[in-house]
Amino acid sequence: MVTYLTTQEIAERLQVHVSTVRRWVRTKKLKGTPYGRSGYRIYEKDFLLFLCKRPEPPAPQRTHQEAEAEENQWRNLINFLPSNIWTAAADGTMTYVSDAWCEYTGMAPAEALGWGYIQTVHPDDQKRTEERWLEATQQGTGFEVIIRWRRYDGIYRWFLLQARPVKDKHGQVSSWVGAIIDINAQKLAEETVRESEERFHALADDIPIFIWMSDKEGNTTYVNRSLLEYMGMSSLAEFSGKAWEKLAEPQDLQRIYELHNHAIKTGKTYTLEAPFLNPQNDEIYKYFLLQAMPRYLASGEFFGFIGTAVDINNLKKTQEELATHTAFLRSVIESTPDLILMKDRSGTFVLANQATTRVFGKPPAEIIGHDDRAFFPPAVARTLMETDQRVMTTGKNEVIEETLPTAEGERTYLTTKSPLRNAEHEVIGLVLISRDITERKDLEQQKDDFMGVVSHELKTPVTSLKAFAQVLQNRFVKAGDERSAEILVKMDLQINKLTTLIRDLLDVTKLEAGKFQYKENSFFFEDLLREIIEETQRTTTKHQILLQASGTHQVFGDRERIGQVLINLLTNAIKYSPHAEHILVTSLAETQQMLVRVQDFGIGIPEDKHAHLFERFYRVSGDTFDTIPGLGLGLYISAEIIKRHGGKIWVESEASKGSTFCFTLPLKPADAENLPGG
Amino acid sequence: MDKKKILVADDDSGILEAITLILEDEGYEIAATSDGDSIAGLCEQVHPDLLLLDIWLGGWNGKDICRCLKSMQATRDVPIIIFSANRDTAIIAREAGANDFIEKPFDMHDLIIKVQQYL
Repeated sequence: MVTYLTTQEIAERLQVHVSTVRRWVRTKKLKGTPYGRSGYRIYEKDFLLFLCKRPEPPAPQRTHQEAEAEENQWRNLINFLPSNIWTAAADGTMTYVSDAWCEYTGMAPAEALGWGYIQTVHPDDQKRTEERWLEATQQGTGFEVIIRWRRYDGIYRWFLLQARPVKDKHGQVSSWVGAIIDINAQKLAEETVRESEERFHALADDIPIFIWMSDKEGNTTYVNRSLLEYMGMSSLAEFSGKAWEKLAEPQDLQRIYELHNHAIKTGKTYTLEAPFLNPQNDEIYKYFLLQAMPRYLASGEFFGFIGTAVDINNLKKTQEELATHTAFLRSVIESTPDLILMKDRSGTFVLANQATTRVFGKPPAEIIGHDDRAFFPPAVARTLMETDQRVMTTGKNEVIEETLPTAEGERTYLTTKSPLRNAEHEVIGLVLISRDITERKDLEQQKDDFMGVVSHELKTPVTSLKAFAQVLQNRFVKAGDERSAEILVKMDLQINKLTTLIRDLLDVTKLEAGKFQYKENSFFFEDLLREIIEETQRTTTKHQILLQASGTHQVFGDRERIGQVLINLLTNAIKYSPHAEHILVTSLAETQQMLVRVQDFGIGIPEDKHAHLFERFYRVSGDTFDTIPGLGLGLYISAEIIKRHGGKIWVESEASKGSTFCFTLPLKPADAENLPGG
Repeated sequence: MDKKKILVADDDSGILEAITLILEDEGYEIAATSDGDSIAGLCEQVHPDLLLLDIWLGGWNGKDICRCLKSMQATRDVPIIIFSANRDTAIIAREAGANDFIEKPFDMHDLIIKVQQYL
């Protein structure tokens, strides 16, 4: 710091007369510039310099007063300096402490002198300080000791205590002078560095990675604990250049040396995967990933390597397992006759198995990277890609039957399209598995055709049989032979049963082929119901069919098919209640639909069978049921018809109490509105 | 009064015979054939008042016969009832110009009622 002082100020500080200061300026012992009328302005720096090389020789014969005055000058000077200065007797008792000393410690000089000062030194540092002092006294040398020194507020900070001996003419230490210098910031910085280094070492030692460093000659200068433990060593000293030879195979070692030399030239880190022998068990190899980085001084001179080795044995194993697994999957994919394809979001093929060649006429390598447009006519490709997009948008599987022009002609496939998702569950593409069902479809068609022909061929003799029976019956009636006519009525009923069986077979064939046709019109439901009941009533003398219905309601649908359902339910009711006398039919118009219930009081159906009743070819088994004939088609066809009309069909039944078959049919909208409350 | 004449054609002789019996019992005069080729000739010869045709006659399609008969002077206005074992062919029959349709096997009374409607 530089401040200006006037001659007056200097005189006051040094307790000399102003004229003395002026003399010093005139004689250029002190540099000053004129200030005001009789003053000088002097840099404090110059003033201090002046004091340090103060030339005035001591008067050979100083008076006591003069000596005291001079000492005062020195004291003032010392007190003027912002340093913690002290003097002590040869035995260590304090004889003087500067103002700054007192100010820092908050201790009055009277307290500090003698042995009082020792309280300002941290208890842990006191003994050391005393020992150093004693040692220095004996050797007659100066000493320095780092202590924690107490501030006025009780806080200890780091200081450097410096002491120099003052010797008498015999060379004995007569007293001590010294200073205490604040090194707290420096000490803290050192500690931070030390802590950071300790942390690094702890980290480097505990980390499950091998770390090593080498100098430019290739000598290992550091290895972490993990590496030492792996080697079965306890210190760096044991770890020499030869250690690497114990670890790596000769050919790998050779490779490492080559990479080392190359890295030194290029300055680039090198990486190598190599198996390391376990030095504690010669048989076990583990895979490690080695990395080494050459290090250079600021001057550009190479001064060694820092390297790591990471145990990648599990990773390697996993990779190998994954490779095996992938190969396994690949062989599954390749060995199936089904077509397996994967597409990305844009529809480009990213995977195709060998089987796809039959469709595309090209090997998988020539399929991947293209989309459907490269293989199919534009309209076909567009349809295929539209379905793909739909599946990827909705994220739902779709099973599609598709007929495609292929290298082997037109073929039919049953294709499952599933969205392909990543680990985050996002749709990233599509998986397609296609099974060639051309032969199956052909067989199905043949079966359908066959069933159609069989049914048709069966119908022809039945038609003439029925006609002959009826002609004969008519003639017996005309001839008055009522008994013979009755036999022919019974024959006609049996022919009707045969006709129903044939029709059911034909209907199932059509349902399966999707060729079941409906002729839909509006009709009055109750009229149909009465007609069917009347017709069915004619087939039984044992049962009486009772109807509970009111009003007339219009239904839109295939009158004949719905009639078929009613006939089926009524004939079932008769068939399965051989000992009952009544069949109860109720028809109720609800808000939007007709609810029809056909109730019998027969053998009933156990509850666990209910769910299967409407399945194709299902027949309830059991002693009673087995005596009643049937194909197991009627309820299946009925259910299909009702479902097709937007209705529901179900059964309420209990074994030996009877069954109630119910179904609903939507009312024609206009009729629904006319209902009370509808 | 002359008996009404009905031409019946079916490739099954049993059906042909049965229908002939039913309708003769009802007092109609029947001309029956199981040969699709002879229908047109028979029509010119017999001048039937009603035609009962199976939808499929050996080698002939009832639909085509229908179209053909509806275009001939002699048979243009003669009603045609088609019968078939397949109810789904009712639509085809109607499209071909037939007046009505009966599904096989049929009830004798239903046949008589249908015939009476057109005679």
